[in-house]
Amino acid sequence: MRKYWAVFKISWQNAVEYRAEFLGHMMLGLISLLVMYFIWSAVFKNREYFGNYTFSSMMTYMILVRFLHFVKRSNVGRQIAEEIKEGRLSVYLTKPVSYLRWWFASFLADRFFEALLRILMLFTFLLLFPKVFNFPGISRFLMVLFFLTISLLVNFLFNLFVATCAFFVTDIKLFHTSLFLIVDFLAGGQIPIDIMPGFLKTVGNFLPFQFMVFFPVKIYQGEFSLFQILQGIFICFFWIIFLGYFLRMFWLKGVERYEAVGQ
Amino acid sequence: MLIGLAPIIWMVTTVIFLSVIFKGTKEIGGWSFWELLLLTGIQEIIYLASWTTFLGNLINFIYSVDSGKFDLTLLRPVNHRFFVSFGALDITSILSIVNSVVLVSLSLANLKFSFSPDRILLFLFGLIIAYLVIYLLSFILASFSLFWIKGENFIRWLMETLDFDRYPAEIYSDWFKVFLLTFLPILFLGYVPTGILLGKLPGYFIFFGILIVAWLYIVSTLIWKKGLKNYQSASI
Repeated sequence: MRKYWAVFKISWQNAVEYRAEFLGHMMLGLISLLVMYFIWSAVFKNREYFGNYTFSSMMTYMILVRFLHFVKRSNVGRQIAEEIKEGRLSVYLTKPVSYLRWWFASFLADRFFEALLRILMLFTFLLLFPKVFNFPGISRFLMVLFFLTISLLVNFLFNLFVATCAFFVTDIKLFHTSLFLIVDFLAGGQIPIDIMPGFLKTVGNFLPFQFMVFFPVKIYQGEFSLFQILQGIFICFFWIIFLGYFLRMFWLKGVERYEAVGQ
Repeated sequence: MLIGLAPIIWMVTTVIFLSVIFKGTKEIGGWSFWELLLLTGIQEIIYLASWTTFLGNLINFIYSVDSGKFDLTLLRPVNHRFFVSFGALDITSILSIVNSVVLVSLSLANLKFSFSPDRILLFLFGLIIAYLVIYLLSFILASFSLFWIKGENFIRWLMETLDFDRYPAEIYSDWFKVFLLTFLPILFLGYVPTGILLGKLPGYFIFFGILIVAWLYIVSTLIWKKGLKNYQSASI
């Protein structure tokens, strides 16, 4: 356990070291948020409701989508796939460490740092735009944060699952971007799942991606009862076991197949 | 085949997004659903044409300044500005343009408006201006890497701001619209040519576009020359 704690600390230091670049990246997200502000302002110009949303609840949704960016990011999958493709995985296989736990420690450090910065961003919004961004109270916010730790695990396992494909195909870049565009959409990253067209709504409600954006936002907005939240946690754990099982199977098959020819 | 998949998925999700928004309204900023799809398609054509011809080259140029490999370019007996901009073609984006052309055709088929030769001519001029504006903006930002080594973020910022051009400028406040037509003239990429084609904007916007291109060209040349003097081969 100590060695993974060391990985966590080093990854944390790395994240802190590149904080300016990180902040720059975070600010990029504000541009699309501004665009969303203008579009939804135009949509709500002559109406009070869109589905069940008021302008304020829609903007709260959009701001939270930016906040939850750290939950649905896909960089880990891409990095692991690169290591497999270039043969750098061999370095880890010869060390007395678990490659996946190593990455999980690094993933947690990176995400915790980003989460802290995004929480700061959220409170800045709260101070600057209290009319469009609602705060539901500290207890519900803490409930969201608790739920996000489970969502992060779903994201990590899904990323690994995609990365494992690098054992079987030459380059996952070809479908990685496409796949994560779909994931972002079905997670509710562009429009809330409950206002999507019928078929997509069904698909979105079935797949685990909703737990990365839509579900936590709905907890934040107080639209789920305690029973629904517990049900969500239960389904999340089902997906974690499901993904974990197939990931283990794929990973072992992949390592068996792996040839460290490098480039 | 998979390379062209991401732009298709992006386009499909954009169309779904727009169709959801238009469930509750007939127009946004005075633009109908099909007019907005036409704008999306035209902007995407310009964007993909940029990737095919110069964006990848300019990003490589930024990395070459970072690594010091730009020295090798400077040693070549060529026009350096042209070489770093159009040195190689990225043909993987060409296939994706087909999706946009399909979207534009579909939108035009569903729109009821009369074509006039002068409007089509102005539209074609608008497309040329759009291409020149995105090129000159990208080139100016890429040239900043001659002053600040890690320059790739500038291009990323520009790409992100293109989102403003995916929707009709009528939804923005007046001052912001002026900003996007002058200081950061990205509305010339999709909004202006589409607006002219649909008869929503007067033809003199083309004249403004020419002035903007001339202004950007002067600025880009000044920055490029000053940047070359400043370049110190900061290899790592």
